[in-house]
Amino acid sequence: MSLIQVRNVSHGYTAGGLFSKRHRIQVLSTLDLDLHEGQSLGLLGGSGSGKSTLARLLMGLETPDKGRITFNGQTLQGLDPQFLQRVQMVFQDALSAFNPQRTIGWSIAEPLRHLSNMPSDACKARVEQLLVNVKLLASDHDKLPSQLSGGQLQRAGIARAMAVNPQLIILDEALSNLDRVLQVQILDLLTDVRRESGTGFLLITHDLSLVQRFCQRVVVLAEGSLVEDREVTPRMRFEHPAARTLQEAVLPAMPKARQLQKAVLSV
Amino acid sequence: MTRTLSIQGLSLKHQQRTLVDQLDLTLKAGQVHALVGASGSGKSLTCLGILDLLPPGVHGSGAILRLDGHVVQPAHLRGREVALVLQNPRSAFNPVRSLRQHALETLHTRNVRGAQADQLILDTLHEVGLFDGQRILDSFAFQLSGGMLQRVMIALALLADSHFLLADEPTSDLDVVAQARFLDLLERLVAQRNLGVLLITHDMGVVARCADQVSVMAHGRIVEQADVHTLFHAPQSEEARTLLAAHHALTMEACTP
Repeated sequence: MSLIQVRNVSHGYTAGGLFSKRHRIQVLSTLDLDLHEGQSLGLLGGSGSGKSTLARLLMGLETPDKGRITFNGQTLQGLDPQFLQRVQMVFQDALSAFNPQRTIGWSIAEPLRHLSNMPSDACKARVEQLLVNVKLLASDHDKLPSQLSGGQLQRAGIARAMAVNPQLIILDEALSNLDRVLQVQILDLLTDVRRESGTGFLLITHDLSLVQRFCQRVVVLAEGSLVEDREVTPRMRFEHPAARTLQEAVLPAMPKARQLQKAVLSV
Repeated sequence: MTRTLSIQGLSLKHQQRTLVDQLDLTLKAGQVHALVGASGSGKSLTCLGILDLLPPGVHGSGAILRLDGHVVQPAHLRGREVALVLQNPRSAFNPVRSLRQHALETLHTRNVRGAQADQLILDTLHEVGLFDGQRILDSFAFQLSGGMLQRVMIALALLADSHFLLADEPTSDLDVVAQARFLDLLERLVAQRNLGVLLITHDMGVVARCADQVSVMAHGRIVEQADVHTLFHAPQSEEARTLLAAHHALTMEACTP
């Protein structure tokens, strides 16, 4: 069953004014997408393809110019608590997603305070549990964002998104700033979460290797619409040129026979 | 004779803590030397330490820098023999000066001026794959994308006629396509201009793609030094094995033919 339906959505921004003439930038045009319950979907696209715009629309942070986004059959209107209980988001820049004056524990408990009526001591226990789940220490509860590294903060952001047991978590380039070792650890963690609680994920990224590791289905965004939609299999090949470019840019697993290559180049 | 840049016994301290401990590194012209390690292992500090551009509070001691075997001071290398490419290109440019001013400033240090300078700048931009030279030169750093700025940064390094390039995580802020193009460019310049490159990264994919030699760093020390094939086929240190395991977890199934 589909949780969120996107139908015929177009969206754009007005740019310029200070340094150049005002003009309209069309980001998405007549886009259709279905997000299914409990599925992990990869949304792949290059810089500027409109991935983050789509994420903001799905989250209700912006209203589409044209078309309709429905959640459980109802049109999405702004940020109402019932919707936020079901859908949570993790942003790319972890440092700016936390209140610098409040402790990590306070920030993670924020959705619990606003979206559930959990008593405060139960809240604290839940937060400590979440911290342990994302491989942080329960003692990190009282630290400030500036005392944690980028990778630790990103994990705290994921803990915050998981706090109210949502049905869907949107990860907007949430892993791109982490090193490979951490990326693998977090993807494994999220796979466990999906298996245990049936949470669905939307992984937004430009890196196909993350999608191959984590997702069941992948869509590719290029020039404002979806150009590929397929099951993730170990040997899948994209057909659309924009998608092929992304696939070919994936870094090799092993070094090539360089001497040979150089010899070929010099001939 | 192959040109070399080597540093011996680089130690860096912040107050009482040793951040980099007795590090030896040699770069050869025409080769890419990758320096890999987890976050906080001292990779970036090593890079800054070579050029003596350390952040406040960090002190270096006892390092001997040699260019082609002759002892030199870091101040003589900066902006001439050795150029630096940083992770975040946006913060490396002056936001209120156009890119033309940046390029001309670099050429002034070489006493190239006037029409000759303009032509050289355009040619160099062309060489790094920026074909819309005039527009780019009239732009400010905030008007260009990250990938373009990284190219401009390399172009500035070429304008200074540097023989060695220190690149500190040059591709971690770029998307995969821009990353692939940047690495293509680097490979081409190494082959054509005989550049010696120190490539700092945490991504073994980047290493597999373009490195010749690899040094693995952990806790401020180099724990393993090998050529790229040896490292990938028979890693000796714990750190190298961890990095490779994570890399293969993400790429092996994607790449099997």
